[in-house]
Amino acid sequence: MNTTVAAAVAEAHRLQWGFVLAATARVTRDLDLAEECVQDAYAQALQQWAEDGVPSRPEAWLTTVARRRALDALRRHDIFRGKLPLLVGDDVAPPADRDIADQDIPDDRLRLIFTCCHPSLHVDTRVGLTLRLVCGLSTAEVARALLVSESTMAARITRGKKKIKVAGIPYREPSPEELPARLDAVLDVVHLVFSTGHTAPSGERLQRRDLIERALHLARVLRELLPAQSGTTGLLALIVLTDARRRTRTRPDGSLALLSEQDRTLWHAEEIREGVRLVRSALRHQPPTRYALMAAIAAEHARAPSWEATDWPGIIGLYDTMLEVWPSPVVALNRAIAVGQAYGPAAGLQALGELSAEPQLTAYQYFAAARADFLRRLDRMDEARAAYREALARTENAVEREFLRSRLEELGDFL
Amino acid sequence: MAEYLLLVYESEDATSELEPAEDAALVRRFQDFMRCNEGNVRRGQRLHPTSTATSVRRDVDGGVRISDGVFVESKEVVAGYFLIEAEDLDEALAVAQQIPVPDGGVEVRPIRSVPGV
Repeated sequence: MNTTVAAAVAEAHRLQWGFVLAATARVTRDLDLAEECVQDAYAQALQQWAEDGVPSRPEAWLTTVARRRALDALRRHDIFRGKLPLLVGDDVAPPADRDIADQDIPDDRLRLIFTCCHPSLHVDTRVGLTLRLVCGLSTAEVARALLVSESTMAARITRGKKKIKVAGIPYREPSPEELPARLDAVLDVVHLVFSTGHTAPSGERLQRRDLIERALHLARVLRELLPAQSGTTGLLALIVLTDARRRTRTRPDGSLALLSEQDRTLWHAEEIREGVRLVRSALRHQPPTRYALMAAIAAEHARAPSWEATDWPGIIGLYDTMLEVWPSPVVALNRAIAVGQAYGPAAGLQALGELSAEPQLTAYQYFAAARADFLRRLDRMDEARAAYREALARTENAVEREFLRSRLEELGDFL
Repeated sequence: MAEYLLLVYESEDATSELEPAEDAALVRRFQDFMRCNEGNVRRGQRLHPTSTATSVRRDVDGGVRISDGVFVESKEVVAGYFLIEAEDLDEALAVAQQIPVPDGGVEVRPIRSVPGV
């Protein structure tokens, strides 16, 4: 029984923390107090669910308990609060006792997400606040996830919360006019969480499952709450499709497996089907959003029977459209790589050459790696070796470094 | 309602070298801005160029040092300010976006309210 209860509380923590905190913050109008009350509610759940059984709607139970605690705390500290800045929003006000019964708890997660991802916050702060407040990670877990010290992360989260209060970042969903731009900031945070998990910036392992699952959950919540926004559908599709290849990204010994050599029968077919369905739905919106296009490219790879049989001209076309809506050197780099696949390494190298004026790009590890690969395939070995060495010098993920080192060895260069 | 100070930053060359007609046009745009946002703006002014600025600092030995020029040298300088009232940061940012700044930007700072004042 106790293990069942512990598992139920853990699951409610993983999936519902943001829901409970968002609803409680509306009562407290203070994020710190809301966090305390929600923490208490989860602790109480461990005890009370063991006695009374797990409630049918754990998030409603938790919210009711957290809000009651919040109202008690507010009554006790009423005198002090008059002087403190509170969260501002159109209808955030402490409800009366009768309004906090389990039924009909409004879903305030969007308020919380948009507040954590407000453009006036530094992007690192947005990621930290989202993982902490929406996903319920502890400061230590957020720090580990983002590879900074716990004290740095604690300071960042504290500063972020202080700015929300003092600068008056509203606890509110954006208006329909503001929504597209504000949603982009949210999607970027979720994508950043995903890509940090997909290829850990440094460390021994290529992937961080915990972060990938958090990002997937956030993307599903956003899609559920904002189904009409094609960006949310596109981002969910991108994450589902990319993650469907998780089993084949490294070889059994942990080394990096390229897309071209991965065993496609090990990809998760059901997830690919879901991703392709989502891509179709996301692409119905015109002009397509950036994430819809990224997902469409991921779908082309996921559907192709082999690397060689991939629809490279189709992928180039998608990159061309993407460059129109989102001109970025990294997109241009990926397009050049696709050109190399479609029309041979010489064409690819030429496409890369056209980008060599981008200082931001030439310092990017994957630019050197792509050049190295084309040069190797053109038998220009000296230049290939130099390019691999450059890529190696710019890469910090151990698995990626090992791959580049093995390529150098194949070319007779032993470091 | 909260108060915000909007600090208007300009690259100094851009505003000090304006022709009289251009300058008059800029003044009209400021007046338009004030009119359109009179619900929020409590006051606002342009400043004389930084060549007229004087800085006052504490010395290490506790004395006062007076020097010619801005407090912190930088390419962009404070060229004006607006004191506004807004419901929240989003409203303050919406006002800030309408300030005519030909070559610069606006820093939005929440003002500390003193309890009981």
